[in-house]
Amino acid sequence: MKHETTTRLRERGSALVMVLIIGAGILTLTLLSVQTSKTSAISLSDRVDHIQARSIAESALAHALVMIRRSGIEAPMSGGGLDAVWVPFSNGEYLYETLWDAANDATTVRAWARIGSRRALSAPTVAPSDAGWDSTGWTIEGIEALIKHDVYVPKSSYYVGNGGIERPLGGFDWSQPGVDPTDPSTWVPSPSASSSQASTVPMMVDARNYPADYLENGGTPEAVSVFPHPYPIWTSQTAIGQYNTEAWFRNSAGSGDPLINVFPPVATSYSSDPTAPGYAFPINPELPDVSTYAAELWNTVRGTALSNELIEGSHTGSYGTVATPEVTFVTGELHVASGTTFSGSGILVIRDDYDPNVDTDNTPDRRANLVIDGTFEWTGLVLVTGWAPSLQVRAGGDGTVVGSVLGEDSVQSGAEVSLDSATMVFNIQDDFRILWSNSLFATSGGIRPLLPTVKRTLVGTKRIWDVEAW
Amino acid sequence: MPKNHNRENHNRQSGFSIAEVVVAMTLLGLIALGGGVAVASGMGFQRDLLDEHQVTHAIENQLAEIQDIANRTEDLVAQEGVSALMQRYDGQVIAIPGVPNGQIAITVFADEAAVPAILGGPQDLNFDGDAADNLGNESLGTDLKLVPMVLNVTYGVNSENSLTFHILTTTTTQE
Repeated sequence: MKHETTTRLRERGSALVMVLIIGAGILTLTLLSVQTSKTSAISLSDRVDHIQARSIAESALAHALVMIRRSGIEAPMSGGGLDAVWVPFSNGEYLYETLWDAANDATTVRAWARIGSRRALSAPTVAPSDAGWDSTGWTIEGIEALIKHDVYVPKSSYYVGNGGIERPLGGFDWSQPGVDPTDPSTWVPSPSASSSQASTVPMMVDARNYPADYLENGGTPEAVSVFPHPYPIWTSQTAIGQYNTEAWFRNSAGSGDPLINVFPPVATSYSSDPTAPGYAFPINPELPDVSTYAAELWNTVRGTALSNELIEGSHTGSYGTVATPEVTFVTGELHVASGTTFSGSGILVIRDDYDPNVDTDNTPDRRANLVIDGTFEWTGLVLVTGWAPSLQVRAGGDGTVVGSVLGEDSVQSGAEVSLDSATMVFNIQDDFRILWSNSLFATSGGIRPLLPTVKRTLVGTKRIWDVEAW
Repeated sequence: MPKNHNRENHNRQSGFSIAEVVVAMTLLGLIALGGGVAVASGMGFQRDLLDEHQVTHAIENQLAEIQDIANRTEDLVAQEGVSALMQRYDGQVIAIPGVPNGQIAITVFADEAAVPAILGGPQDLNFDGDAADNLGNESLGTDLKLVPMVLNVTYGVNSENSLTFHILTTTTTQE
């Protein structure tokens, strides 16, 4: 009886036990599922935080890059001060700091972002790379970028932007409808010449290497090596620019030897076929916009001890020497009056006064022209750029540039330069010489230190931190 | 008699009592109900998580695409390059496939004086030295060098979920 009672008691309630066991199992699985879901949700939330933090860090890097590229600031800091500070942005903050390596002309940018997490936050004011950083409560992302700065060193005695010389005799009018500058089959011959030169004194362009002090002390240019010659006579950014410049030299001076004043002399070793290896006047698409070049100088050198600033009109005197070159800005027309001399050394920037923030008609009040009735002598670089720029040497005038001349028609719209028909008018009725001098540009002396940065290359980026600090 | 007594005993011992069955069924029912609710809730939660995963993928792709377009050579016809970002993206609503009501609405701020504080406030976007130009008016943002954008992501059956991304974009390749 005792055994039967025990058995009965043991059998009674077994269903409940089984139910409870099953229930416990279901409950356990449910709790595990909930826990897994919670973990997934937290993980996803963290991922969203990181995506947002990365977006903020990339925004900080973008801000630093445009400050470097557009404002001419070599080492910008977030907040605009001398030390980088955290700047509120989106649902977090960013901080960027830059280190300028002057010796290598490179900038390292470190851009950080932080987003407050769900715990109590520390309040560090320094960057996460600083020893004083306290990461408590922050989601951090960081990007480091290396930017290389490059100056443009002139490679030829004469460089006229996109379109070359404005409609020379035998050239092309590329502003006509349907003209594709890259497709010669669409080019339209100029109906009339806008640029001209006297047949008796055609413009002289000499690509031999003249001494930097040639205007002061004379001297002899280096002998020309056999073809290919080390320095091109001229360069342009597009094929149509090359053709127009070539047409200028070949046709504008009338009959006779069209290239009499071009050195080294055009010989059979040259080819007029731009696709041939021996083409005399190579196209370099990497060349900068002259307007950008001038704007970079205006932004970085203007107002310093190395600069002079002249308003349009007649000017005489000397600005800079070979030993101490300077940057001279002329806004509007520079007129060298008959019987006077304008000379100097360094970079002469003749620009227009068009301000895209104020002006809307694409027409400057003061246009960039160099008009020579007297004597013009410059050692270094001469830039003439703006809306419809021109270079005129009138009868009785005499101009010599030892170095290089860069000219281009461009209209600045905002920070953008329009180069739709970037040509330059030349009207040469008396002596004008451009004598290349590699000595001025290639060495650390001369005007090399004055040459502006025209290209900044982002060498690479890397993620420098990915820590959720809690 | 002993035999009958034994059979009676045996009959009483086999099976569960009514009360036991009722209690067990009730408990089982409650557990099943709770489990069902939990499973249904969990499945809904998992579905939401899946949606969120898809949304985060979509936003990462969109951010990458914007940077890629900004890095391309300027071509307003093909709407590529920094100067084309406004024309290409401002006012665009991009659907997120597979996510209920999933979409990314993009706004570009080209008025320098009206850049929201959350994007840094008024600032020079064409780097001409001031913060007073409305670059979206005449030039449709083609002068922008630094492009402030807001990407507003909404999703869910009733579009009840949202995420907002604020970015400043420029080209990160050479110029």
